[in-house]
Amino acid sequence: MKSWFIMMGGLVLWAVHFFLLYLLAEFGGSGPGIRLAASLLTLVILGGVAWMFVAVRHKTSGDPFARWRRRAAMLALAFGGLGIVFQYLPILLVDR
Amino acid sequence: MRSETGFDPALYDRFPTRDERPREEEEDLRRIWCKPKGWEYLFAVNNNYIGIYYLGTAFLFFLMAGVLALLMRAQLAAPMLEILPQGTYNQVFTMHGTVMMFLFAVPAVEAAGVLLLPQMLAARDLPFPRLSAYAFWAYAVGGLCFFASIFVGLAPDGGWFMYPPLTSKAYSPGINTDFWLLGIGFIEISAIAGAIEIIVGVLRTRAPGMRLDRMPIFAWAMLVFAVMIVIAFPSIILGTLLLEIERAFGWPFFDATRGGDPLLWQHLFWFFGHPEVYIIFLPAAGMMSMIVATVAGERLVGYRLIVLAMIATGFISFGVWAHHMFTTGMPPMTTGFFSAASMAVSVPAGIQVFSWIATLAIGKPKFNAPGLFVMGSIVIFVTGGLTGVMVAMVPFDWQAHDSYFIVAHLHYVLIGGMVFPLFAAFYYWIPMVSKRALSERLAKWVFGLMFLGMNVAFLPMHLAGLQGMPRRVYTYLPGQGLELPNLISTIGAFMLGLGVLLFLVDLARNFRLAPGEGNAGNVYGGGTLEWLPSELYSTRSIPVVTSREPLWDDPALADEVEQGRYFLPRSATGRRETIVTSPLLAEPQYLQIMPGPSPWPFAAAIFTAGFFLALTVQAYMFASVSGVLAVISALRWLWETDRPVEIEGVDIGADIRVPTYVTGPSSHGWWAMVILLVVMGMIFLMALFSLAFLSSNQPGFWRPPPPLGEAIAILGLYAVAIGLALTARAGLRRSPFWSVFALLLSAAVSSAALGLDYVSWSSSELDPTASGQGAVVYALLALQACAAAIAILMALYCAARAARGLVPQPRNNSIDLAMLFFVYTAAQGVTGALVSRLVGAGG
Repeated sequence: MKSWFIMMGGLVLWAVHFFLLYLLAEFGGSGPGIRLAASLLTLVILGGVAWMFVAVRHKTSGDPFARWRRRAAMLALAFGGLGIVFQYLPILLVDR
Repeated sequence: MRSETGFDPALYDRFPTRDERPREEEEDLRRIWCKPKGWEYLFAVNNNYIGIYYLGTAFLFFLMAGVLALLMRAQLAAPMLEILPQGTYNQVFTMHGTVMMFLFAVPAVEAAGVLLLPQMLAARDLPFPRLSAYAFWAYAVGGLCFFASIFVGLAPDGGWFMYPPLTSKAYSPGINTDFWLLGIGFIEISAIAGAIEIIVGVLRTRAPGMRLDRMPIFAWAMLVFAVMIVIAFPSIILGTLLLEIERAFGWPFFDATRGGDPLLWQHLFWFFGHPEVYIIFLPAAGMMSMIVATVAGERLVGYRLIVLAMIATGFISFGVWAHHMFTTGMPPMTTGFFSAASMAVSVPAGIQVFSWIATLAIGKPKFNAPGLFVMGSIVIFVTGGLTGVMVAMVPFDWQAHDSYFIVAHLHYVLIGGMVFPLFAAFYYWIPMVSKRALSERLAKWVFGLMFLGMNVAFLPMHLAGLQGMPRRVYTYLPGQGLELPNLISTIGAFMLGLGVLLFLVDLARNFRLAPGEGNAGNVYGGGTLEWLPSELYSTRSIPVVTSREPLWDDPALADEVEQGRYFLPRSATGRRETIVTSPLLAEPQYLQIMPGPSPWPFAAAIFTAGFFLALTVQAYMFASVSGVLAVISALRWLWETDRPVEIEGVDIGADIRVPTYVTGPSSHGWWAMVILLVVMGMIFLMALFSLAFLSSNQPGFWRPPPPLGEAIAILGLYAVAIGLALTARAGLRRSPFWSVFALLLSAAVSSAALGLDYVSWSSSELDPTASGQGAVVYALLALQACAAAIAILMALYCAARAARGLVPQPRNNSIDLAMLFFVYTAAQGVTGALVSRLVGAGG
């Protein structure tokens, strides 16, 4: 499982962020606290992405599969991080 | 990561071996994997047969649904035509969508997986051949009976997504809707069975050395596809169950007047329905990636990026389901999130398209039959993708929703993303199973007619939609500017049909199926293992894989494999067997002894189909008998498996020895059970979502749940059940009877906990027919009752095995898997008891 989590960490974090945003919007009412909660959530998850990125970057190995896994993980984290920022944009753009 | 299992990779250097292999070894393999005769064709389980049956049946459904499409286009060729009566038209468009999505698209790609994966991974077969056979027969029999409903006017007529309240008993009183709900729910079970087979197959039966980074891209695609099925399909299974229960017993899950909500159906349906598009697209994209590389004569550009794009598509596709619901009045913030995710999902799809274009650009692409179809596919799919980004924009979607623009968009995506790749795959891989390849000359006509016909049919639909033509209307008035686009669309549809007809002519002329009796060979020069010489036992020996395109990198490989110079050049135990390898690095772990042909999967499928069909026509006695027979057949089929093995360890080549029986998390059975539990967990999770959704949207109908304190005794009992189940596994060291006794006790305690939960709720006077809350709470209890009933059956089954001496000590897979199931059942019970009391407790 560790290998899978390393490889897909960025996407897992994107999914966690997305579903928590959805649950906030669907069940959290429409008060101003939602925006604050969503912003905090986004910051925390982006922090997680950054932490994982640093951890994976330092995980060097001469083994070809480990190298492949590391590069795939870094790509997934970059993609996931961008996706999380993009997913946050409606908070800034939608009025209600 | 030098080794995953302790296997020394230096052992691979012993291959290819130098010694001549005895001729008898090959004769033995032929005898063990022999061809069926007469009736045995019904009981075959080998992927060479099941894959072909599966693919052939899926294609038959494609043709039948295609005929329905032509009927619709004939009806719409001019205004106010009366070729099809209005009611029949409703049935025809519902069946066209349903059959194409459920009976053609998903089964076709699953079939391609069953047929191609063992060859591509150089496994003797997938790890659960009987499960493949069951999945196929359940699908074929259920699907054909479902399709036959149209001939007697009983076909469903509520559209392929069956929205209530239109499909509620009040507005659809006949059994047409029940055919859809029970038929589709049943066929989805078959799809899940196939998905479990594919996940375990891809992760555990790859050729030694085929690390994840050397895995063919099609195998990656099938892995993501199967995982997506496991996550997405439970949602529709639950949805169909709930709607059927509402129709049969009046539990108001979707009735807004009694505390239900029709939007709940839309959430459940589209949580499955949108990922379904990618479930169809990803395997087709995997085929495209394989074919593009061969057609271009160049390695695929950006292998790692494509793998990542596929996984990303899998993730993001679960964040787009509500973009089908933009016009339902969802909160603007929610709408914004889904709009953003719908745009984001185009990025990984775009990565794959750019990779294909780059591969074709740097290679020397050949304009042969597969080449033409992949290039046509790219053009059509990109067009559909662009209109997809358009409808991801909420204001545009409000205008285009439920218009012919959407019909055009979805056909561009599905035909470009799945049908054209499948035709490319037909041309590309038919030489692997047929003695003759298909005609290149005819293929150009087929492609020309299909490509032109597709565009002529669907391009004008964008215009018709923007002019205001709603989808699903059986006719339209003259003078609205819709005559010309509709006439052109009809002409295009018949051109497309003509192309498919020509393909059938080609098949009739050239397709000569003869599993195990030779094939046309590697006509297009592919570099992956499915092009190794093979017979019914797959390849003569199982090669060590050192690159992604082994046949391009080692031209001598095919000969050496054929001479038996690699792994498993003989049957080590005299039975059907394959090597099970580790999931990341594909290191040999053990030899799996595989079950052979059997009538029981066939019988189980027939009786399961009988059970569901009899329920549909309300023949309850017949349904009960059929259901019992289905369970008996399944148990009988399992009875022959998990037998004690006399030979503990065997030489699988070059003096490398592996065990023949493994238990616990290393065994393939454990993996399958965990995946099955994920399926059950997803069904349960979606039921909990339903409870929370109704609580949030219908607070006026919510009654205070029983106090949380009442759950303490229930939780205590479930904890005891978990403890007993764990004891059962550990207790096998002492005695099989002690182990079975612990299982029986665990099942009894779980049932008692459920009974206590039921009493607690029934004394709170919550009525399942009175409110959405009551309906969902009792549905949760019913799900728990199903799990408890299965647990009791499993305990009795283990007891019977123990009584017959079929539970060897100190470890046994049947006991292990029962333990997993029992622990899950109790955990589900705990979660249900807590969450149902917490949701809405504050209100």
